[in-house]
Amino acid sequence: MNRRTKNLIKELIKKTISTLLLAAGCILMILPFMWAISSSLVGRGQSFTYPPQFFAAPYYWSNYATAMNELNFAVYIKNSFILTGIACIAEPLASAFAAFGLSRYDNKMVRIVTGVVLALMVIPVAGSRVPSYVMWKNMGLLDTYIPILAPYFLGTVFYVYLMRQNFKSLPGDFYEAALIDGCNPVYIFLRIYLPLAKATLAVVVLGTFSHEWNDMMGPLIYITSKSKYNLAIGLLYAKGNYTHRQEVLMASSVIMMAPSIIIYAFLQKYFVQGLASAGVKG
Amino acid sequence: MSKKHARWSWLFLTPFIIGMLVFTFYPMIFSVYYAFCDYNIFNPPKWVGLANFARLLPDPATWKAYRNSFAFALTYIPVQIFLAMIFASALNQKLKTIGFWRVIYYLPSLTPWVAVCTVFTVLYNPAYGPINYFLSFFGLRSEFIDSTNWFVVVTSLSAISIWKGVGSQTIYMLAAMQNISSDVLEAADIDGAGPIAKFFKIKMPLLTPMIFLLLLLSIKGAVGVFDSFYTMLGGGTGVNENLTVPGVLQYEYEFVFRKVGLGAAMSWLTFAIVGIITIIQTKSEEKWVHYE
Repeated sequence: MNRRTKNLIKELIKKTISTLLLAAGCILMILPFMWAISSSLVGRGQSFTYPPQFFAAPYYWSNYATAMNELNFAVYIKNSFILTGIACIAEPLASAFAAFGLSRYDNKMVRIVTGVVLALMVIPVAGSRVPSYVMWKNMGLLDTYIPILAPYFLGTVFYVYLMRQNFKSLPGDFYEAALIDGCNPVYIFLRIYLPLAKATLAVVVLGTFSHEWNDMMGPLIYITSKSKYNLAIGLLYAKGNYTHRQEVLMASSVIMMAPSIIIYAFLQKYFVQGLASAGVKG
Repeated sequence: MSKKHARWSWLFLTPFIIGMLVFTFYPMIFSVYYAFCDYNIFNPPKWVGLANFARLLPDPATWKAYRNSFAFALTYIPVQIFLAMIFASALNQKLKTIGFWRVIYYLPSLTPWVAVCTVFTVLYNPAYGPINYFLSFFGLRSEFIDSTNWFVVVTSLSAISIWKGVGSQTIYMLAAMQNISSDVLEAADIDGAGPIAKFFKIKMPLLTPMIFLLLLLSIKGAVGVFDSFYTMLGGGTGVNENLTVPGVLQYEYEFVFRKVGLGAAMSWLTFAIVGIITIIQTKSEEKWVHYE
């Protein structure tokens, strides 16, 4: 056997072992999802059978209707989409806006803000949530979405940092050239630099989506009326009260997981690019 | 560059600066003040000096919370980084299916905590859950989160965090591995290094910067853990004193028991502990982290 075939065989063995390993891991990654779907389809009381059943007919799709109507999930989904939708538009724009300022200009203020951003990336931010709560209480804005959404309109340190890295890597010549052509900086930002940062924007959108879609703390603190609950606390409270209807809880969990998975399927191509271009920082 | 246009920087930065002042620094400064006050939100804060700290420090609940979060961090972080390295090595074999695996492994990271916890409550059910059913073939069983042993409960929660987080860490680790130049590995081949020697003597040292970064981020996350403990063990009501973590305890002090001073004091205690760990980590960086 010559050296070349030997190497080929070695390579093949390596690839096979890797694939088997990844397949085993994949099963572990997928099983909880499959289990959730399977047990969301069993009849009333059947989730308490032993041994556990996996995708045994008949399927009770009505559990999804029960979750939507009895558990009010139709309302919570609408609320979650409103919150997440606004956050996903505001956050990328606000963070990119600030990041553009940090990347294209150089003066004392820019240097100070950059320093603060870098410091806040490393130092854990501490503190109580009560000062913000009291501030919103004094403004009479409790039990509205404003306390939850307002921060998204002003930019978040981590995303500002991510966008700044991206803008820094783009040439400054575009800015100078567009300026000479008489464009104003806001126009330059919106029409030239923002479209070039698409991949990083996708990372910010996906991050914001999963942050707001999953947000439990915000509504827990600020929202008191049931009609304004989002999915996270809707499911949290249902989990405490509906222990006897496990199949409905599973259907609710599937309802809550589905949009994250769908949006990731759409954005994942950009997402991988974006992580690479941002120098891969968690 | 663009010196005369520097005034435009004000336009771009003002919203962000306002945001940082209002949502980061203002709460931070007031938290310092509240930590020294008796305050229940409805009446004005009353200065009590170090009384809050004097109450927190000897309280066993405080130390149980920190014990739990340390046990959580120490079981979840090393296992997760270890698994991420194995999966990343497997992904790094120039497989054609890499895109598919990357999508699958990343999925759990995106799914909401509360939904994940609802599903795992069923998976972990001691009486009729599928995990115990599977274990029964080997003559094993566990009570998982219903156990009376706090360590079993905490590690059950670590396992969920590992499941949820290992995919994203694998992707970061893979990026670091792809940055290792093939020259170095070929040179080692010529010198006759075996695969094990290559892994420990060459790949590992070159991966240490990424491991360091992941450690730094994971510790921050592990000490601040809230969602999984609150959903799994509280379910909208309080968490048992034996099983609480600092994040949950702080939330309960602030918004359930209305003892804001204790909550604020707790947040600074956590800040101090995380700060000390971060300093130790950064100091130890030059000892084991290898930069090219």
